[in-house]
Amino acid sequence: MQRSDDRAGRSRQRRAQDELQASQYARSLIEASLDPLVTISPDGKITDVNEATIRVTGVAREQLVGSDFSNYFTEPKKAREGYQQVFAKGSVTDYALTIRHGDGKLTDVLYNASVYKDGRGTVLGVFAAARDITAQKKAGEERSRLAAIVDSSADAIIGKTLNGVVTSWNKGAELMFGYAASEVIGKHISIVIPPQLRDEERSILERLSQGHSIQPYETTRVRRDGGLIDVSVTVSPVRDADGNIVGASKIARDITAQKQASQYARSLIEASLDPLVTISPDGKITDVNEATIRVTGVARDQLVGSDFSNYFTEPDKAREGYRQVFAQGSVTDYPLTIRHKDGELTDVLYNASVYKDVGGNVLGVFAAARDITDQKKAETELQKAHSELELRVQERTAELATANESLQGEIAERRRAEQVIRELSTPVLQVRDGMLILPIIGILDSQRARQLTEQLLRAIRDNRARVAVVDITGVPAVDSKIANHLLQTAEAARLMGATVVLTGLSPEVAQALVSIGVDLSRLTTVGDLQGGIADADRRLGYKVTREGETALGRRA
Amino acid sequence: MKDEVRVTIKSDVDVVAARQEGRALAAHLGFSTGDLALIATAISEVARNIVNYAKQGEIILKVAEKDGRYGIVVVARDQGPGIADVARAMQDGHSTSGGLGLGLPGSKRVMDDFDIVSEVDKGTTVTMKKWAR
Amino acid sequence: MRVPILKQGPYLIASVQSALTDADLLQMRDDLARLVGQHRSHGVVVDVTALDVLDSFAARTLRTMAYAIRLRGAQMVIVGIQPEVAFAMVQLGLSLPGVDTALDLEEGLALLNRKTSEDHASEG
Ligand SMILES: Nc1ncnc2c1ncn2[C@@H]1O[C@H](COP(=O)(O)OP(=O)(O)OP(=O)(O)O)[C@@H](O)[C@H]1O
Ligand SMILES: [Mg+2]
Repeated sequence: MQRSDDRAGRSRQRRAQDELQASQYARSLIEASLDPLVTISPDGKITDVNEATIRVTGVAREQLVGSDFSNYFTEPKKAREGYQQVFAKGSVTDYALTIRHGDGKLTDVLYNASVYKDGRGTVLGVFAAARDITAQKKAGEERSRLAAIVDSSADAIIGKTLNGVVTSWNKGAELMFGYAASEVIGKHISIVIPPQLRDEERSILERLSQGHSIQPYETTRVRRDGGLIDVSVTVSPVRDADGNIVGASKIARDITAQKQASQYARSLIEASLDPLVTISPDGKITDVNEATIRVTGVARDQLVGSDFSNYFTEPDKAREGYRQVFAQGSVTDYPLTIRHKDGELTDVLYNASVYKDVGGNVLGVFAAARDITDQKKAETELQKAHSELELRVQERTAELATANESLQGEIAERRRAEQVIRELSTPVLQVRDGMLILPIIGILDSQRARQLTEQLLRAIRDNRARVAVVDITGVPAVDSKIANHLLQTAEAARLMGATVVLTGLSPEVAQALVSIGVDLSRLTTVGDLQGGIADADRRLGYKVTREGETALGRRA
Repeated sequence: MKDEVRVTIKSDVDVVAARQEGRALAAHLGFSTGDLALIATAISEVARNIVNYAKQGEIILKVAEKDGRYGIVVVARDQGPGIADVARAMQDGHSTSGGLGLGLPGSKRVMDDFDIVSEVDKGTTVTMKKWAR
Repeated sequence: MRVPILKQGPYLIASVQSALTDADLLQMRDDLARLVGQHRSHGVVVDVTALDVLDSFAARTLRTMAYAIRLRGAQMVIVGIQPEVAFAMVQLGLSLPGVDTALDLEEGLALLNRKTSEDHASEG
């Protein structure tokens, strides 16, 4: 870098100082450059270097200066050719070389170099600046890696224009829809959209082109073979270099299996005889099951979005209830009275807890009501039955008073026991009179297994169930510890007078358990849930004949 | 709440008293109803062994605390005949009285800690612990 | 405290109290055996709803009681074993093999009705 503000009248000293300053300034710029910079003499020796060069080679300044420029590259010959070209042509641009550090580390660079001359035009040497392109190269590799991922993704990833013409179609899409890329590229996306849903697709592309962002949504698609699949779709805009939206990229995930699982859970929830609701933090109902519709007499679409507190004789108390849940995480046996739209009242006890997303944020309250009208009736009946008993007893009148006391004590004991916390994490569902279903989903460690047992045994008593179907289809691993726990649970249930029917134990697992000495013969096992329910029905079947019998001591 | 409860064991009536005291103390410490039944049953077993084999002795109920967790300690102590073969007495089904032979091994199963020291003609001390969850 | 036993038609109902000593239990066993013979009862319901503990002695006594009653030509059903008690029994290793159980008094009486009508059917 040269400067000449050679002004008359300035002292030589002053000029010398200026020059010094100017060259110092140029020097500091050079040093500050993050790019490795060197100057090279016509015979290929390094004449000057900056800090960046020292860093990238790992060699000290005084050793670099005077050494061969070509020494520091993986391809010395190519390096030599490079600076010879500069001397021959005056400059080179983007000349690719790889610098080797003293410790072996390689740095890909592009050189831009030009000759520099003295005041008379004599070439003094080459000034060469290297640009580190390692990061750039990585980015390039990353791009091809991403392309590979797109290709190998099980999700269908589809590119299309705003008119819906397919522009790209990955392997996942080929597998999911049954069309090869060559068959669909250039065609309209509607070939995989069921006719009744084509409007939906149109409006989404329209909203996208207007710059709206589209929330992931669930929909149905049709395969080449005509089969329908449930998919979850994420759409994002594709923009050109100027930022204009020119197309859409769509990722579809097959959620048929997922949907079936949630429909299964849904049907179990629907099957529950207990009214179940979910409530948002502002007290609005967000979901209900059939039992809730029955007990309120209000349609589902009217319930959802309305105030939870609307449906009780004491709305304030209802509000206070769900506030407590949000504040404390759960409430148990919170008494409320539901008012049917025809005026009929139902006494219930609410058990409710907050539910959270995977991140632990509270989404709302899940509340289950237990109808205790029958229970109250049963208690009065029990008392009535007892007074009848009293009349018929001929002897031991003295002990009768004690018996009476004991029955009262029994009632009190039952009330107290009902205060016990009921876990909502695994639903215990009463699907028929006398039958419970306990679908266990997820890993069953000994702590949870014990909790489930306590819950099941209590539910057997509270619902006066005679058969409990425990479905372990959703339990990923059943080892001997869990199997023995299930055996103990079945035995405890038997002591209470109920039968446990175990379903969802695969034959392979059963075989393995037997071979390590677990006595499965003490358990009633049936292949799947459906079969288990049928078996339970058979076990309850004798009820029909029982109704016909007239027996002493039977409460009518 | 008293930190320690002593129940003298001389007859089957005291067995009932001991398990009721134990249940009350455990309930106070926040044990679940399921655990209360386990604790009361274990107390019943060791107290009955005192009546059956040593004629008399005592049950001491104490509160344990560790890292902010509470537990119950049950000590059953007598100066009776002692047990010659403790290892055998701890086996399921071993009984010198025609019992089920499940009292000691069963109690060990349902408590978190179980320790038995016995010397012939000197007596027997069973120490059991359970922590509230 | 002696366990009160009520006569209910062809059946006897023993209503066990919570504070049940070993002596009370043995007394109940003897009373039931005697009354079954005296009234020619067809069945016995032992209601243990109020019991908060069923230990190894109680389990053994209930077992022998069931056998003794069966020897006298009657059926015995134990009703009302509470969830916690049932779980504790199983943990301890106690079970009641061969002894009928039912949820409560009503179910117990229904079970006796079924059992005794089966008996009569097989006799006739
Ligand atoms: N305190 C004691 N003093 C002396 N011997 C004892 C004592 N406790 C237990 N034993 C001995 O240990 C044996 C096993 O005791 P354990 O309580 O397990 O069974 P059990 O009392 O025989 O029958 P169960 O308790 O099942 O009715 C007893 O049979 C008895 O010989
Ligand atoms: Mg014993």
